Amino acid sequence: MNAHNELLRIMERISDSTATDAEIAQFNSWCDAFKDEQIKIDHLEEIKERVLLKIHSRIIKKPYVIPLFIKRVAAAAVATIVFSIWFYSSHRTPPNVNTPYANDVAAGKLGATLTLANGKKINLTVAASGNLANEPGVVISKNSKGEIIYTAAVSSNTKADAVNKLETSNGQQTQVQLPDGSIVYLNASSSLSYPVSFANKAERKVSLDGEGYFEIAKDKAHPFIVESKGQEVRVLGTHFDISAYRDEPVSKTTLLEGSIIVSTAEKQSTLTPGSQLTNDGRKIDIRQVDTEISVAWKNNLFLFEDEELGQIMGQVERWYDVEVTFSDNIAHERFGGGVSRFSNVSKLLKSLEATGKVHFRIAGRKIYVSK
Amino acid sequence: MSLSSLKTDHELIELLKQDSLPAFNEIYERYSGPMYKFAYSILRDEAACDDILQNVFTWLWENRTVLSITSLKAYLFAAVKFNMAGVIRRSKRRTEILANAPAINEAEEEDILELKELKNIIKSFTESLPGRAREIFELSRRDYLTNKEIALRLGISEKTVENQMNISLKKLKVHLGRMSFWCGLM
Repeated sequence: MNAHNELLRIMERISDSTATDAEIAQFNSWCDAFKDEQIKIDHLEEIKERVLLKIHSRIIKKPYVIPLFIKRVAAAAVATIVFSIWFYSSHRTPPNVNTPYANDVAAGKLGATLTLANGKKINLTVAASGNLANEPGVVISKNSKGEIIYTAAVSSNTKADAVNKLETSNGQQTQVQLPDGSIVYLNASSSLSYPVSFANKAERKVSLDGEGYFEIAKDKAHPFIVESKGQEVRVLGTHFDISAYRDEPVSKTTLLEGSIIVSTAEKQSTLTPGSQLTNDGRKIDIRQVDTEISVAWKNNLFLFEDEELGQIMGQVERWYDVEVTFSDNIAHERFGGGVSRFSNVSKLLKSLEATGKVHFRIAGRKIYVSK
Repeated sequence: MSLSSLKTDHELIELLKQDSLPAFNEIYERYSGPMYKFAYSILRDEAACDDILQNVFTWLWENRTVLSITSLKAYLFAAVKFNMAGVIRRSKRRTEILANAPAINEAEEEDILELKELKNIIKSFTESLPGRAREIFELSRRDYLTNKEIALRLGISEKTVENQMNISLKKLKVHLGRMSFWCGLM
């Protein structure tokens, strides 16, 4: 017991910087005696990753901001696959007769505009498959499925600050493989800016406006960072979705697997799989969600559960490139259901109307919503 | 693209001094596991070990330009030890922790390097104090002299000793604050 008190006193003196050499040596030997213990720690890799994220968020200064803009281009019209349809409203009523629409709007499709570091713009909807452009150190091409593929060239003398920007207009959706192997799905009316090459960079930093689903390649030495409206997401390798449209009041960050840190001006939050962080610029909420619904768009589905009509119609505007006007105050009514994103807009609207809670009128590229 | 794992510790330290985050991450990848295991073998507390790992590496980054490190591994383990001293003395479980120690072994060569680094860390504060302040601080805290005794020995007024000690203690708080800011109570 006395020996313990003596040791405790030494520890105090060590903390106070006043311990003598002999005392330091005694404490040192005491610590070393534990080293032979065969200790097994479960999830050590997870612990290391979690702590490294915290360290990074403390030592890395606030990021620079890449200016973003959204270019709006009329979407080309293509109608394809029809999926099973089902829709319900929170107050179920008998479905009424299908309303025929005077005209219909076709779904959006795969496509995007790529702006190279030198300012050159490439329309990926019409560009032929194959090699698109050679940037120093990087080959950009489009495969037969319309995906943009990057390949890091062997000998590179990449300009350190060359940045590419991938943008989708209303009615477009795209997918890209970044030079580190990470895959990003970009929803309609969104843009992603990223360095042409991540080589020689401490961090893999990109900037998002709109919605993107990220499948980040694991690289512990190079954290992946997504900057979006009012927040920064920091990961080492994981799957997550960020919806951060400038004209939507709330940003949502949903984690599917792994671990991420979301930083806003006020605070840092660590998300666990299956949780969603909402950020309205003033406060942050974290709750458990059905992640299938959050990423349905990248699986080519409209899928809603207890979602406000206003939010649903926001997605309709972006994907079908239409303008939605509410004649009655029902934007906060909640609906749930699902339909293929490749159907004409009427499929979705009819399903919603079948609940008896809402009616639509299509006029050109305008949709009017009423009770 | 990723930093070669074949780099020596010395090369990593040199890169670290040039603000290389990849070098920092490589150091973390190399040593964080064993450091964590070591701290856990003594503290048996996951949250406290998290904090220590965080402190040591944050400290390493923030002081990368001024650190003089001969052995990286020894330095990091010594920093863990220094942090543990602070954690244990404040821990509610300190009696339990102290009772768990195995028998003390003969020091091996690696441990001697760690002892050297540990002394460096502990003394870095007193060594940063200017001459007279350091003398007063050491007489007070190391030799347990009273302010009156120090005043007599150095031929200065008791008030001067008191003022000087207050200044030094404030500095110490700042200094230690940097090394152990995240260590909470267990």
